Amino acid sequence: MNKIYLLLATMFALSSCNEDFDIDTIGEDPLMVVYCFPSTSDTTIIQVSVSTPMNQSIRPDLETDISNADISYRVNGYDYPVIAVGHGEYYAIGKHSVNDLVDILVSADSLPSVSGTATIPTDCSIQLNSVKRIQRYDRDSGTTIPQDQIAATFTDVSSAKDYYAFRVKMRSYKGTASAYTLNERGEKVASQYTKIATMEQYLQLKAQHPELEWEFNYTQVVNSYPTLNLEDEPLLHPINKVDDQFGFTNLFYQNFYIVDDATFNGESYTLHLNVPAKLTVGNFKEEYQVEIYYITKDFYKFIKSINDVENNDLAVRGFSLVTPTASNVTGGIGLIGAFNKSESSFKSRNN
Amino acid sequence: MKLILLSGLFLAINLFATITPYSPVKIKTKSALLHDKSQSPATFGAEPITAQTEDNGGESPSQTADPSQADAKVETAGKVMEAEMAAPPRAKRYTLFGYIKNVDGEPLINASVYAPALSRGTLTNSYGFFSLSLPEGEHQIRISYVGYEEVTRMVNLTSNQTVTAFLTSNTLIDEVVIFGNLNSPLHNTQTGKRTFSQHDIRSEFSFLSTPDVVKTLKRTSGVAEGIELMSGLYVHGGNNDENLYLLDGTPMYQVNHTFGIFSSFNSDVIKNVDFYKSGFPARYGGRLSSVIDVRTNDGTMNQVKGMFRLGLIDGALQLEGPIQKNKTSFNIGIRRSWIDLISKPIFSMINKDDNEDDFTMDFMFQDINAKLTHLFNDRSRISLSVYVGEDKMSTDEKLYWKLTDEQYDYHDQMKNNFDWGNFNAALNWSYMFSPKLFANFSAVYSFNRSKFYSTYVSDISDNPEDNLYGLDNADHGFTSSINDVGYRAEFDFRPNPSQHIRFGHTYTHHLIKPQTSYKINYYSDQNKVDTVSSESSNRHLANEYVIFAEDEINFNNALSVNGGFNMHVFTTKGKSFWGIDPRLAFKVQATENLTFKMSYTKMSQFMHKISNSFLEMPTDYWAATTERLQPMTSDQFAIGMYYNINKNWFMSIEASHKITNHLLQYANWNGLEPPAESWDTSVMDGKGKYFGIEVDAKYHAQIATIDMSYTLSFNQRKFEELYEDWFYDVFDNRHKFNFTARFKFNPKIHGYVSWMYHSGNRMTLPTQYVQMPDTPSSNNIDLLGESNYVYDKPNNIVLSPYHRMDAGFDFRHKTKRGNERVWNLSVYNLYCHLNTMWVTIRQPDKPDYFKAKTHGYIPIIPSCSYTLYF
Repeated sequence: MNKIYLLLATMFALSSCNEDFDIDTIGEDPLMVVYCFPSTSDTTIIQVSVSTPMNQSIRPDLETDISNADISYRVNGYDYPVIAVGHGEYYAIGKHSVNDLVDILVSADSLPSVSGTATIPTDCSIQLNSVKRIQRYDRDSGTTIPQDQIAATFTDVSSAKDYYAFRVKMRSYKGTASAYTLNERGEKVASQYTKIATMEQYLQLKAQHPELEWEFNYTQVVNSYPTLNLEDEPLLHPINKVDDQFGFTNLFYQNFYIVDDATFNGESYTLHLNVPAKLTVGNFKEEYQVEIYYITKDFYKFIKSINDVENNDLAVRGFSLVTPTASNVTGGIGLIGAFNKSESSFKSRNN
Repeated sequence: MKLILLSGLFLAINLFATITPYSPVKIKTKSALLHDKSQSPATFGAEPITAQTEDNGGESPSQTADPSQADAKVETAGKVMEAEMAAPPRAKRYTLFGYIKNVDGEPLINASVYAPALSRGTLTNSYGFFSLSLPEGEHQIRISYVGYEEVTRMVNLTSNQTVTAFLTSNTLIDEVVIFGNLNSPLHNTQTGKRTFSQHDIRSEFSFLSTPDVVKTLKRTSGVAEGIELMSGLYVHGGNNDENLYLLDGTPMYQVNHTFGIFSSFNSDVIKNVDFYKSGFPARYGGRLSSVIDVRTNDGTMNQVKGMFRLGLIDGALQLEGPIQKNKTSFNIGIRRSWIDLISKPIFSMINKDDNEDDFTMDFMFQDINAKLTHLFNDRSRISLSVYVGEDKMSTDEKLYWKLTDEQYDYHDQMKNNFDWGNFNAALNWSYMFSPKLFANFSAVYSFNRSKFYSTYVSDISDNPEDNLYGLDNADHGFTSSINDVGYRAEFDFRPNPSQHIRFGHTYTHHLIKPQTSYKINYYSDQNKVDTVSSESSNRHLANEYVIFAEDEINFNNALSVNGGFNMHVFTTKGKSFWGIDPRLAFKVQATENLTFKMSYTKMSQFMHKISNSFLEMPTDYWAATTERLQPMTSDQFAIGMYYNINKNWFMSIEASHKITNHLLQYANWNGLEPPAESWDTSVMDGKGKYFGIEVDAKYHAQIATIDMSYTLSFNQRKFEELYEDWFYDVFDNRHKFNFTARFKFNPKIHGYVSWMYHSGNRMTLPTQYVQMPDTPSSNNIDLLGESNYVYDKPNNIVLSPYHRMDAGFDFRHKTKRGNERVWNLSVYNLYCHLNTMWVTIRQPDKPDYFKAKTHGYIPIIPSCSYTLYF
């Protein structure tokens, strides 16, 4: 009988805790991290920092900034001046045009040099068609909440593989509207309707008193890129409720909504992007502008790789393949991601 | 070009084979004669055997090297042509043919029929049929089958003879038949083949005391286990969807029960499993990495038998017997899990004291295998084989709460239902046209479905008036299915002792309906109601035509060649893919106990499983190659050495190298169910390469059988869209060692133990922690990047080595009525090693080092079962 106890004791002694994993086996050396997004603008920001290998102690961001890097920034073979502005940021000064080839070489003490290239892509445009108020159910609050649905149309640039990103810029106005009339001399005469604080009131009065002129006193105008509700846009909303339960999410890095043209190659496409009203910060009105970025393939792949990891819990647990971070620089980590940005005009619900 | 060279080589070899035995004989056709047939009886086997002879003049004596004969006759498609030979004539040849069965009338597959004096022999085919041409005269014939008593008899061959031999099972002796077993790797050209009988599968360790085919296959060399208990079969570096599962000739798409813990194959009705890892015969095609040809028992022809088994989570009943003695038989096997019968009361008790949160989970699987076989006569038989399998899983969570300071009651309910399974049917008619030509015609139907639906209801009501204040109802579902209808005609032709020709044709019509989805949401609050509903469906048709032919030629006792081709045409959406996959295998038998082999096979695959994980999920679906893609192909070379050391030991070494093209990998990791309407735009085209060396050793004695295997393998992938260079596959298990021992301590106690060790699976961990970029314009509006992980080469780390020991005992007892009852006790993971399934990185809150945490969850799992054979 004692032998049985001994056997059982041995068996459960062997039911060890989880095994150890030596994180040093991943060990790599620190690498320089460079981000640069050339476009047709005059100034290009370059961010330079150093990475922390997984076998080293984590450090605050300030300590990983590299502010004394030596940067060569060339456009079509010509050097552009680069100015350090601190905290690992640099400005390359000079005009860029479509199809310009940008070469960048960054050196810093004790780290391998980093280089990369990108070509400024062609331009594209987007038309904001309408902004309308819709109701969508919000599970968090358990009620239907109003949302502003923005419809915007763009046309795929070519029949080749193209990559885009979108953002919705929301401009929220805080302030009031006041009505006046003009006297015979053309001078403004205040009416009884002053300091109207909501758009609804203003519209009601404007309809009732078409003879009145209006002026607006905005105390604050806030620009933001809201996190969109993508339920009505299949291009940007590939997951469903089942996926939720298996740990899939649908987050976009920095609200930079990237797509490729696989489903609309060479054709026009109308986006339907919802902005929950609860995200608005103005009391008077919101205007929306849709930004379209025609981005390079490397740019798309980099952002997609970040999104893929963030949105897939199964991969982090080894049950599906992890997308490697799609760096396109040589000798380090980072992205030289060229883009060409266009914007629609601003539009609010009422125009 | 490679194809042309191979075809040319094969034709040259074939020509050489045809000419060599007669050279420098000159054959001239004189006339063509039809002959009547007559038969004479003989006896064989444990029971009086039916043996019949066909008259000398009746059937096709063919040319042999007997100098006493000036004239000889050559058989061509049932007609006999007389040939005049300029060279010294040969002895007449006659054909010994028939069926090998067990004493219950069950045909035995891969049984050996061997004439030792001539070193000539053959194997029975999938229907127990054999055909062996021998010179006129008296011959000793040995008929053997592993686990059965060998029968040796003398046959005086003066005409074609038909034989039906009945072998007696002898589980006590169970000597391995080395010299007479032509299915031994020593004697055939086949590389990478393993054969398992029902006895093999039942006498191994079985998880939860339920024997399982796929678990048995996972223990073989060259096969990666995947994720413990959860995923499928990864053969020679292939993916889980690259295995051709055939149940009585019908393809099966989804072979898992319980998310991969069990397979769909009920071992109670299985007769034989042929598992091919390389050197695929030309009659198989459509998958890249392996073929698993599962054949079920016909059912006993002379008495009703059966078994009943009750295991830890499932029960099974199997019955077989004659409907008309020695003419018609039936065999039916039913399995059902019964865990749901106890889960409901258990959850009811758990939820009893919790008024706010009720959670219940139900799970069940069931399957039925049924087969009817009718023998019209010795030449003709028909069988109908049907499989129905189903899995269901549901979860139901109800939440109810009432806040004391609020006037509302809240109810939430979330229900999920998974339902998946197969229906397969095969109608087979086999007919012996002549002693040398056997044919089988099959009509097959295969249906696979998977369904998921969920319902979420949330309501808020006034308290205590119970007026509905707000309601949120979301119904969502997916259904995917495949309907395959087709036929198969295959012929088995043995024109002379040196050749075994198989040829045939298959046609399959695929109706694929991935992801028929529906979504209905309606919301209401006090004033507003919003209803959103959508439905979508996909429907694809595809047709697959295959012509195949293979010829196994024995030049002499030392050299054999098997060559053939599998020509296929696959049409879908107006686009056609066609190709010819050559197959070639050589065998050089250096000595009686030592053989060397080499094989080359090309395989093509047109059906793809679309999945976003390595798990066996019911949400996975199958789709056919589209016009945007290329079919997947593989080229595999294998060489091997097979050595029979002595009567107890046998060992083999095989090496294989496989190149795979147009591998598909889902590229958008957003969601478990890749959208079916555009899946082909969301996949990456890639390559794979595999190299492996497999060493297998088998010890067989009266008291113990021991199997040992070691695999050294390198398994790589390249998807340029994902990563610019080659990277190791997640199941690149560099070393794999398997030890399995079966003991027969005495007739009443059998034991078994197995130990598996392999290098850990791979996974991807971040290599660096970096500041993330501020995308354009983001720095103006407070969307600054944060630091995050950088992932570099996929599958960059190797998890800790996996090892596990399983053991069990069968306690057998004969009852007074002559029935046998078996108590099985099994222990999975005997020493409770929690093998690592994945590793996560923990980021420190303050400046400190990163930490890694391993996760392993499968502990020791004991089980028992009771089986009664009656």
